[in-house]
Amino acid sequence: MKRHTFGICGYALAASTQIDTHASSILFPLSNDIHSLQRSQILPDPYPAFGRLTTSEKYIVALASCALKTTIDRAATGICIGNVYGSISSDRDYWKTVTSGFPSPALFPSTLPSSPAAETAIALKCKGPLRVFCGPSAGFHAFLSSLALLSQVNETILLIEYSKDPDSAEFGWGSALCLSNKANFAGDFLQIDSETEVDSLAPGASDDKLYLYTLVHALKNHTLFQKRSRVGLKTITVSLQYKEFEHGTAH
Amino acid sequence: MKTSVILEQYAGYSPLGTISETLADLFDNTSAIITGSPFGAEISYAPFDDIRKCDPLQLFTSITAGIDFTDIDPSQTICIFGAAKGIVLGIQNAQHDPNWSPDLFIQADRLVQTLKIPCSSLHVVSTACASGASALDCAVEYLHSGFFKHAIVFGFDLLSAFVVSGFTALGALSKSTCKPFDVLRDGLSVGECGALAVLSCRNPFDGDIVIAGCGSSNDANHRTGPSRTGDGLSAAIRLALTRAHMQPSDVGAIKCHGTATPYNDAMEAKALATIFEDSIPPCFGTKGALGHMSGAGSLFEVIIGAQCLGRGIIPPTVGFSTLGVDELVPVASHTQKCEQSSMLCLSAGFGGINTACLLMEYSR
Repeated sequence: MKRHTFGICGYALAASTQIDTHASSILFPLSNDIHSLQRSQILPDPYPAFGRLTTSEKYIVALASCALKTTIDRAATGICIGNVYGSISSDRDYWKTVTSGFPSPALFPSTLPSSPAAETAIALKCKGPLRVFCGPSAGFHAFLSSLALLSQVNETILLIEYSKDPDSAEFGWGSALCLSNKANFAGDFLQIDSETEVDSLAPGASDDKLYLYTLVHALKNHTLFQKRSRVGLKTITVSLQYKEFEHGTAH
Repeated sequence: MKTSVILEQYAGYSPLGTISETLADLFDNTSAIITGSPFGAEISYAPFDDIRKCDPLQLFTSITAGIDFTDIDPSQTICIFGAAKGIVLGIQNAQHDPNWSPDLFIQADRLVQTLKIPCSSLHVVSTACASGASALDCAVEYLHSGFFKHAIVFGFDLLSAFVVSGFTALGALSKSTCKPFDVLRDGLSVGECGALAVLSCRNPFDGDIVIAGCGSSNDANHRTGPSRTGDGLSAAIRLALTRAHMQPSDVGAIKCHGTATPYNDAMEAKALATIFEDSIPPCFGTKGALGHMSGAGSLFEVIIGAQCLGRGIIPPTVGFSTLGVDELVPVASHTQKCEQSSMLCLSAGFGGINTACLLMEYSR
């Protein structure tokens, strides 16, 4: 069995009906009332473009900003996003401008599923690798990709999961987690155990949907999070370890 | 012998045809780019001959007909779809084919089911015009991490009114055949393609094409324009070299992104000069022949790079005549020998994404 530990440098959570604040996170409502989100509430530095961002872009930039502590070397920080519904909402908005006879050059770039990640990188000056996954398990796929990146050369990854059904005005979830592979960290951390033998857990048997949201929710409430997932030839177990239970430096 | 990620099989279809047809035409300096008004405004574009008459599923089935999945155990295989917009026929013309949802995952799943691609997990990666190369980068990481023994990376990006109207609105399109790195370059020509590659993690044999290292980065600069300094692309190249345990002097040739927009080619030239200084290896680009084939195109172009590496020669850069960037980039204007058994394939996309993929022909 192989064990990796990654430090947690910050997190943020958003859900359709919750408003709350936390020492190292912000919970804010994820609804159509996007105008309630102001740039000055979220971003430490001026970002004049914030006002023209789409709903998805605003929320993802906001989540990332809340999770990314200022002490992190942003130039070395990568971004992995699981954007469950991709750009469907923006596709529809842009296509309306095409059928009206005036295709919008401002909306067209937002029809790329990677546009919220790009806006996040620009707003927060993150110059590391950028990955965007789409689909029902996109958050889990982004999580796996982050583990692969962290186990190689990158020091910090901003991991974001966003799920806002374009056909529903009400329900949406978003979460962000900043992970670091630096050797010395003293806060909460994630422990990843991977086993090469294939056990009885069938591929896809684990519930990968809203994986990151569940993880960050547990982190906020200091509750147990331990999930086993079958990934190809391996079974990985991801568990949250809290500072009060594991004093000192993780190895 | 060290376990490596091998490019085992591949297939693709471009406006110049299959991989071998495309390669033959590239060496003949042939371009598929035409001018016309297929979606309203007059543009230069490179279309498939028969795409308007052909169902995308049938087309992709024919593209991948030669791929042998027999020895691939689905439980050991991941499938990664990389596309910018894929097949956006559903949103623009529901009566054309309502099944083609703009949702990339639904598109990918439909292709996997129809083609019976063996895999235990399907991931969808979308990083604009670098999507296919990003998918390849992800696949290499998964294989190195031991999660899977095989990866099937595929992509499909079609020309559509949706995509063409967007590039037209941005003023990014050339009205004539695009001219990568040329002094007269004035924008890109759009294209379309499908591509699929099968990767395995195993001990290499002589002649195998090995993916020695991949790297990616973000400019964190502008949503549609590249960094003016080339810092992002040079960081991606540096990462790929580090992962491959190679030096810049080990690189034999470079397949450039070469969109033929003034800013992209200038940025790319700066990045190359940063890494290779005054010893930039021979460079070539394919977009003057094939157009900009979007996200899937970055995968198709890596496959072209692999083919060139296997033959030890690089093709001329169609559309290029007189160098129009400040740095002395040796852009190939005729067929050239590749002096070393490695090739760097570069791509970039909206949002500042940069990718670099280092291919190597293995020999003991």
